[in-house]
Amino acid sequence: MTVKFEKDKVKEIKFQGEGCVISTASASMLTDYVKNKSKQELKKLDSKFIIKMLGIDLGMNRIKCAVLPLEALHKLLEKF
Amino acid sequence: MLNRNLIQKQFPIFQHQSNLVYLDSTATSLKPKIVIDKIKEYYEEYSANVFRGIYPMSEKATIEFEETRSIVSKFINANKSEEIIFTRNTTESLNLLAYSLGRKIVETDDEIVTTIMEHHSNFVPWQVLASEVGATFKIIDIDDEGYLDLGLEKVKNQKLKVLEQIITKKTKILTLTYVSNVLGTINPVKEIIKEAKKINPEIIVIVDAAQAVPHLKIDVQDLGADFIVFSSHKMLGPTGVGVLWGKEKILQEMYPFMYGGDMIDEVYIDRSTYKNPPHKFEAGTPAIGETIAFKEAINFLDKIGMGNIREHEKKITDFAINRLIDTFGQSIKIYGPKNIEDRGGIISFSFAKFHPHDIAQILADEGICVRAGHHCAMPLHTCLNVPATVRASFYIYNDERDVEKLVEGLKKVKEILK
Ligand SMILES: Cc1ncc(COP(=O)(O)O)c(C=O)c1O
Repeated sequence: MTVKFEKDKVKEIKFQGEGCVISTASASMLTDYVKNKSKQELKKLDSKFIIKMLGIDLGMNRIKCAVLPLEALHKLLEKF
Repeated sequence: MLNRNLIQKQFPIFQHQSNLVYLDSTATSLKPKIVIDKIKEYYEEYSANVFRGIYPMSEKATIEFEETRSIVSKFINANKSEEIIFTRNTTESLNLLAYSLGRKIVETDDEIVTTIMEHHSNFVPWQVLASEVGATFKIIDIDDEGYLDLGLEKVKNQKLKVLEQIITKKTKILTLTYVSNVLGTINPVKEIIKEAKKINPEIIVIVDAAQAVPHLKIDVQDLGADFIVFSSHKMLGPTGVGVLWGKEKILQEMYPFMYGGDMIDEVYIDRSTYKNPPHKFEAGTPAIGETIAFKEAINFLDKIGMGNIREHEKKITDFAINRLIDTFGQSIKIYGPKNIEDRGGIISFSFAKFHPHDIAQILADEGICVRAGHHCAMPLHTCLNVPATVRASFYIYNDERDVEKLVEGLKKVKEILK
């Protein structure tokens, strides 16, 4: 995942990777969602948000697939 | 072929989960009614601790518990039942060995040899031990078909190593799986042990038989290993019970594993003495009811006959491989040996570009239970150059009908994910 900030806001964000449909969909929706959001806002996102965003019934074992992109994003934010 | 309907009748789960297509016995097997009833019998009729009470109920529990030990011992043709140690599972048996044996005999600059196809439980404990004591951790590779790269056959290419180059006089421990839980490969364990002991007569050989004892007739004396380990829950028995079989003499020399009740002989302020094996390694109250019921699982397997079980699994596996390839051609990639004689009832595969989690999910919606992931064998998947695979595995309650369901399920996967 790569992200470009302008001032404090996300200007551009891209992800690259192979994964299951859940993680890919989650990454795609998440990157759409976070555009123009501030770092503070991004840090507040949690798994509950992701589950709501996806809006489908995820089995217990697939929540980690769904949350994977958010974890990547949070890891990335630590570097800024 | 075994009669699937007759066998399924003896597994209550099929009454609770209608149309269950259970293809994950490699992870854990289903349990027949006699095993479940035996657990109930213990809890309802004589649920006392073992080795402690003088009263009849405790004696009954102890007799039942020890009877399992002797039945396990006969099942694998051990010399005596004192060589059977109960643990929680294969993982604990292997960790016990790394701790009580490994830390006793492996020193700086020694070698520990294992293979790339090991389950993490037979990989990580040795990796950690080697790094702690400064020993060399050596790994036997596999060839393209999923056989161990032993150089026992003629050298085909540069990559082939010869066992003699891997095992040396410094190799204290060789530990390897009998049957790969991913590739299904049945390793020529007996031949490997013979070769290894020729190179280094002092070597200790440990065999992870978690995927072997449930499916093949095992005779530990014929095999020539020093230790074998396996789990009750993969062979129709309860969870919480593992087996470690080892040669009495080595067991006596090993360190205890855990200290506490039941393993102690005498305790003074400044020192303690320990019981003889097996009790030396069985500290604390064990899984009593589960261990007692484990013998019913063995009796059940014995009644069907290990030879019949192997034949049954060979037939389904052969059928399944052919059906999958006939139906999906190039888009399905099945890992492991093509020769059914060298393969257990395990089929791991990749399917087009579909992610294993997605495949397993869609199959789950069809009532088909398969496993997706690296199956606790990450080094092997790295070697195969895939992050994950789908695994279908067979046991006595499966037959061709389950394979047909799998094929139908995969057609659906293709439809949905294309
Ligand atoms: C080859 C092999 N070794 C070890 C294990 C670990 O068994 P357990 O989880 O019962 O400790 C398994 C099962 O998952 C296995 O397939």
